[in-house]
Amino acid sequence: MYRFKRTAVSAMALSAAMIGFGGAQEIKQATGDAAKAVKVTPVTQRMLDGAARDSRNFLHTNGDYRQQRFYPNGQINTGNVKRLHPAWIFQTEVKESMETSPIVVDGVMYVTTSFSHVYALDAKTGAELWHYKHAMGPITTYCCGPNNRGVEVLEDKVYLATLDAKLVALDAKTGKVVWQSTIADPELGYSETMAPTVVKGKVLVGTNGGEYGIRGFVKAYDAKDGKLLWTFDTTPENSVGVWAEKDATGRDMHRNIAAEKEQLAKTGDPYKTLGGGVWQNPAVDLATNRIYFMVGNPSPDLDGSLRPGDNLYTDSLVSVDLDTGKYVCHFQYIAHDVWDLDAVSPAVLVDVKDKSGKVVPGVIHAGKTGHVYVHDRKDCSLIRFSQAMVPQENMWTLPTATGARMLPGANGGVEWSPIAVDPNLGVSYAINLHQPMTYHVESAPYPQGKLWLGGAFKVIPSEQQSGNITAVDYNTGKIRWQVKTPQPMIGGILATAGGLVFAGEGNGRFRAYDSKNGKVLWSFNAGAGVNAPPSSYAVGGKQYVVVAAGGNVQIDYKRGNNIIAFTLE
Amino acid sequence: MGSDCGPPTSWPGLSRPFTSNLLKRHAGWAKRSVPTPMTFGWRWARFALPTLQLLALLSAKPANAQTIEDKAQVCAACHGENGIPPNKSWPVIWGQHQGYLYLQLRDFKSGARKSDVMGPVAQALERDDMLAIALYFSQKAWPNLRQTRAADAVARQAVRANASVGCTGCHQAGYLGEGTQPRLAGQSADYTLKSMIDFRTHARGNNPGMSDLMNATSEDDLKALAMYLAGL
Repeated sequence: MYRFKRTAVSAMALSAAMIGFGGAQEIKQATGDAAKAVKVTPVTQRMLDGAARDSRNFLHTNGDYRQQRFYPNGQINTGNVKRLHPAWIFQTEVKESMETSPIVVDGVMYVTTSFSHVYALDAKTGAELWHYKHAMGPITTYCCGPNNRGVEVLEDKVYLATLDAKLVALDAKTGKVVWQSTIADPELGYSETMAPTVVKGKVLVGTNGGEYGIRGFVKAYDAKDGKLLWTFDTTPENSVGVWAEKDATGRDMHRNIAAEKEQLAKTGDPYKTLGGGVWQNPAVDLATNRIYFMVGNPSPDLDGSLRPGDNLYTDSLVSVDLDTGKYVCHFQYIAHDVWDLDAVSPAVLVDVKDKSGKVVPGVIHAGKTGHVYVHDRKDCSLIRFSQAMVPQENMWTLPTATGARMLPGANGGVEWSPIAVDPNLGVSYAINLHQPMTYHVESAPYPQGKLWLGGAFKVIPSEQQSGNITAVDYNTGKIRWQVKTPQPMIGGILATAGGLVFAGEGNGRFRAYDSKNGKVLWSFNAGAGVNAPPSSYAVGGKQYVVVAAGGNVQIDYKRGNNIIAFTLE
Repeated sequence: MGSDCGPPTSWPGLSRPFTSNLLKRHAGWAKRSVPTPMTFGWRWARFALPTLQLLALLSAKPANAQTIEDKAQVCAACHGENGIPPNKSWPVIWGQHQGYLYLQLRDFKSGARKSDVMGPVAQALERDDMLAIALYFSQKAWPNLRQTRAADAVARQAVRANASVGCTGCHQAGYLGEGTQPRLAGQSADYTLKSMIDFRTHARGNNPGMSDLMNATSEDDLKALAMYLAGL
């Protein structure tokens, strides 16, 4: 069913939007008075492979398979960005936390909202083409809001992972369900908020549930019919590891390994309820046919006594083979994490200098610890880590019953927010949180699909919070520039060939910064928290920047329901 | 879903009826006083339907002819004919979310949430029954208990407490809940406070995550939260 509740679209505008759509299919949409036609272009694998050079579309959640979030269109640039203004605003039906990365295919935009709604919009006018409202099952279990971070499109299908742990393929022309598969049982603590990744006939999806005693995974489904092709369990049957005493940066984590070994002898390997969610899209290395993704915290978050060992592969970068899901390599940042300072922000593939200065294929990740970690893509090994982007104090003080203060707080550093890189400058851009917290531990047995934190993280109300955008030279680990913001930042960032980075704040500000020095070049107040990753695209020869302003559950930023597209006057 | 309420009886038409032992065990319910961790007063006897009368009500139709409304009648004694519970320490379940109501019934049955009243009631239910009953009540309109809006200072204290432990992270904006997360806005203040304290003391043991969060919050803040939420 097509509905045009909010925005009327003129036939002229639609005709203009259709110009140049090679191979497009025609769809009919009913409006109040007449049927109009919109063309939907199938997304080929070739288009997806070439997304990094595509200055018209935005085909991947994080820009391209490498997840660089560097948009190659420089029409909007440092010289003219001050003339950026809203082209249109679309209001969704759901006024709740928005984390969507808009996907744009030849003038058609796909966005999602909390509670797993999908909208197809005319990217030039903001007119609604269709709206899919997922028939949510009665059981949903999630930790941090009913969010959804977007869809991806392959051929003529739009793929959505839902809060009740379903994978849904929609007809790109109509929004009707083509097939639906069950990913996992939400009653056991599984939920989906990430956008799937589509590649070579497969749909890849991870899972939430690290706060619910799940066993995490990445699964690959057949894009044609939703059949499961492979599963990679993020917690292997032997999750014990090497009894690492230091984190990736060499700091002692104060583990009581003797007690852990005793516990292991008593209760065995905890892998079945060890958590290890995968919150964000994997990066795909097309040359080697490998994917790289981040595995989140062990369950329960703060109580290590019930889960002896390193808790592999939680808090890790992991690579597996795209065709088989077989393990390739991993690197664990924090073994036996009891602070939830895990690995969430998606992996980014970029060429980096190794320790000897030689340029090698690399993979980088911005952690909740506040470091950008730089790895060799060949074997996941760590090349370097950056200066800390946020204050770190008392690391690694163990949680106590009454609460122990340690920085960063449990949200980071860098939360799930994707980073961007400008490969020409050799710089990564990350948004950070600074939230002083106390860490509390209390042991309780696994409560069967219920929130299982093993304690609590508590914001210290008397201490000032803040955020920042930090540019890091990933070839040296040094901070190039940093801009402080009045509130902790969550949502994501976009870099462009126009020498800009775009990022939003919880107070409603959406800003463009000079990517070379962090100077604020443009600012807009969206009226609700801008806590979603921006995208960019072009229609009719004009570049747009688009972002959702829906606020955020986790940090409790003002809610809204706006998709706002900007262009030059 | 109250842990301290009501005359358990049969659930005609549901998957598994009560055994005679269960009925016998609960025949004396109206006379019993059940101690609770908080002293909210136990006034069950005043509101309960005599067991025989209730049984008559429930057996008025053959089991297979009973609608969900018939089946849900048994809940009304404690949770209110019109959705307003007759005792302030018993929760509103009209308009509460299906997922949450289902999980509570599931946990009453497994014993993860302990209640002399709801435990036996849930024993008679299979998963589909629980989901159906939960759906039925979720579709009712949330009643207005006419509770007073919290004073500004109390509201400020509650908002600060939320900022610290993040209640709205699960209970959603406006504390309206969703899915398996219960609505708190407009819930009976006495019940909400009792629940929070029960989580603290582990008298309510079916959500250790909540126990952790409540233990990280002062009792004074919990009182402010209960008053604030009631008036929303």
